Amino acid sequence: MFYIGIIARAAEALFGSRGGQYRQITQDCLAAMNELEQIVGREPNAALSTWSRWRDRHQSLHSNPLVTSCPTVDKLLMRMVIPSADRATIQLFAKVHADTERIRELVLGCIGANGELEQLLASDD
Amino acid sequence: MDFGKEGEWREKYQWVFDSPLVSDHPPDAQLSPVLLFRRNYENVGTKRKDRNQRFLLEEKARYKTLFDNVEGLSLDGQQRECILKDELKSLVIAGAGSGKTTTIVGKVKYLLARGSCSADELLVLSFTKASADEMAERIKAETGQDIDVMTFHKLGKEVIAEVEGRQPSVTGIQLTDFVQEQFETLMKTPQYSALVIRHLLAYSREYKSAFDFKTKGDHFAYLKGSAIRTLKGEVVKSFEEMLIANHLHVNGIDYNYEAPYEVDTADRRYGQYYPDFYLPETGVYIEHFGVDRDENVPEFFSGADGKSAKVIYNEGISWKRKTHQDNGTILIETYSYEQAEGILLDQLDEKLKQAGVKFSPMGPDKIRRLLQSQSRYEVASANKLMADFIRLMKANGKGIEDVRGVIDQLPAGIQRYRSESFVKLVGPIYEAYQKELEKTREIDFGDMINRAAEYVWEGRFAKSYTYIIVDEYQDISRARYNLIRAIRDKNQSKTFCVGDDWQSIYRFAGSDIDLFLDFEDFFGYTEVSYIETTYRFPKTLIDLSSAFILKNDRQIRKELKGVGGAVKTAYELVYGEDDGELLGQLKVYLGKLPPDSSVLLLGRYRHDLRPYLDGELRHRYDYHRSRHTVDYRPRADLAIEFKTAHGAKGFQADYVFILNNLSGQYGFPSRVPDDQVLELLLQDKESFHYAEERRLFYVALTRAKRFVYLMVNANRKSVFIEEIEGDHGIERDEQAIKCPDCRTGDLVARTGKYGPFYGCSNYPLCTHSQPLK
Repeated sequence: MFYIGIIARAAEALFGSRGGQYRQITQDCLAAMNELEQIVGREPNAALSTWSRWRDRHQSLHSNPLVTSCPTVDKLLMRMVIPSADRATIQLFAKVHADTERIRELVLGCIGANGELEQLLASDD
Repeated sequence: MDFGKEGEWREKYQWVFDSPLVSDHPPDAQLSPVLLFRRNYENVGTKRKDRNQRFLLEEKARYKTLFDNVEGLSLDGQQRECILKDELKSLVIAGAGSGKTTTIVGKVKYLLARGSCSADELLVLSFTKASADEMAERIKAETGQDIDVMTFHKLGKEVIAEVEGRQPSVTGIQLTDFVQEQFETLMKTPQYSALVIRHLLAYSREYKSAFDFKTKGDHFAYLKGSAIRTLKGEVVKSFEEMLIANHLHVNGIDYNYEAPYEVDTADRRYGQYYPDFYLPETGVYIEHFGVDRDENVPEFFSGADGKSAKVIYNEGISWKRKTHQDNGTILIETYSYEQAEGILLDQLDEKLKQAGVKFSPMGPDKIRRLLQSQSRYEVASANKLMADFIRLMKANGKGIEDVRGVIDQLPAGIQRYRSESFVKLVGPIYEAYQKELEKTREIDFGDMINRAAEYVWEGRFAKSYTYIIVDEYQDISRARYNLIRAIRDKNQSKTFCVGDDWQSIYRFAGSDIDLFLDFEDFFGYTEVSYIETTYRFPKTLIDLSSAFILKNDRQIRKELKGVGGAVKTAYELVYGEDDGELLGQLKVYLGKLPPDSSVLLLGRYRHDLRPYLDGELRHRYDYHRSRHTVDYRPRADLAIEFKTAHGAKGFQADYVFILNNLSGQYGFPSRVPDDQVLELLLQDKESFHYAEERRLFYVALTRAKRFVYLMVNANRKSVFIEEIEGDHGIERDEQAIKCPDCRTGDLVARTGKYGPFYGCSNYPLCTHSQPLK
């Protein structure tokens, strides 16, 4: 444990400023995803144009090199600096933003499947 | 919600679940609909089961009044549950006397009351017209509605009538008679006649090698049961010896069977040498050695003086060779493995020719006459077998080419050669039968099912059913399964099959127990339910019959429960030394029965009643009710009926007497239906010995409401009786002494030239003897 602590502190020293940037990016991605969550919650069958508007609003975040490089972050020290939950948030945002049309179809699929199952379980048959 | 719907849902959204959006991200990073979907997808089975459990409880309460009164009876918990489980495919495993028909009536009543379907969307299938009529009547009485209750044949006929626009004409040809006529006609041609002669000589009886038996007694039982004798009437010691004897005889080669060797070889230790065959015209001896290619001997051969059976037997072979060599006599040797390889007679011919033996083969007419006089039974059996074979072939929707295909898969050897020989005989008769049907534009019962299934598969049958209920599902054949499957698949009907694998007894007619035991393999996911409370017979009989049937591991385990108070015992083995004594015993036991009891006398065969008839016990056939009744003068109050075990299915009586508990070919278990050529048409042979006969015996045992009497001829006890005696510690007062050599014969007192002695009841097959004291 002692050595891990030393290594973590060394990583923090080396990538400290980068770590801070990632923490900010994570917050931004989380906010963007929350916004999408609200859109879907309010309007489950939202049209593609609604999704596209969301995409456009977050274009600059998606263009941030820290976001685009995040899915490929594999250096051990970097991994130690950025918590896995943060990395997952950034990666999800990057994925949704990169292929909004397909992700919308998948989300619509999930919504349809959930509704259908609910109906099946409630039916008299 | 049934499993099918769950499957459809899963399948429909598989693409979503497989996408990286769903599977690659941790739950707390997901969009909520995606997260919910993932949880739903992973737990849909549990959700469905929980929901169904709630549904079951609600429906039980909602329809309590309905279930409290089905045909005047209150259904038990298992009956209610199996009715309520509304899966796409349901199998209900129902014990004997568990109220199967009432449960089906209850199911129909519930479906109609609930509005799950209308009366014309329901199809109930049964196997016999009588049971279909009874079912229709009972459903009508309970629901007031007419629904389609019919046999598979009636369904087939209706499908064909609808598709072809005319009722099909069903042939009146009696297949057994047709086979007989065709056989006689074909026998006039030299080619067919030659095939028949060869078949009857070499293959008429199913070949079993001595290597197939564990004990000498089992081998003797086979020889006796299969009536292994030569055309000259000699009782021989193996199937192979019979083949050799008959081959010599039809080739005009005179022989003496087991005549003393021409030189006196007896000494203080060994008796005189008796070679198997002696050919007096040429002075040639033939010895048939029961060894395989590695000089091994059958398991039951015994060793002595610390030497193994193999060593002893091979020493015997060496002694015989040396004896012939020393005395300048000619010895021809044949071996068991030659028969297993199908080359015995060809090899024998070679060896005989080399030894200068002259062949004077009988003409076909002479052989035919000989076979007709000496082998009438074999000819009749072969004809019956051919009729059964054709029937079975059609019941399975197969043609002669399919059979040839199966034979081609068999390894080279006697079973393959025998099957090929049989198909050469049956092929022309089958073709003549099909031609006759085409000529008259008629169909038979097999065609009725097969053609109907084809029409349904092709989508030419318009009527659709929401529910298909099948009674007695354990008797299903491949062709019938195909018809149900076609209707089910075309209409997405729900199938509700009810049956008892313990009572599957129509294998000879094409029923295939695999369709029951491996139901899910054929239909896909299945909800399996049990009805295990028997309302017919007491606990002691449940214990006896359940233990008996479950000896076969493949039967589905179920825990039958009885109702009513405890009964000390519900069965008895009644012994007699012979038919006369057993008849006397039957009268004694009938005399003791309570007034106005119903009695079933059960046989394995129709002729089993004969030894139990005399001036006081008389058989009468009731033409109106198609029943064999028996009048016992001193007890005119008893309602006594005779049935075979097959015919007794679905019947019951207060008291049951199982009349045939004999060993042998026509005993119980019977050895007759085991012919291996039928295996070509049936699915994988059940490996458990007498599996089908065991189920039949179970059916017989479970016909009794109060008590079963097993009438046992102490000198010809069946293996089933021996098993029951052994398992339940039953000892007869006067136990016969078993032969220490073959272990199946009894020692009986005989008198010879040196005075009285004990000999074996299996003599001459078993030559064991010992002093009286």
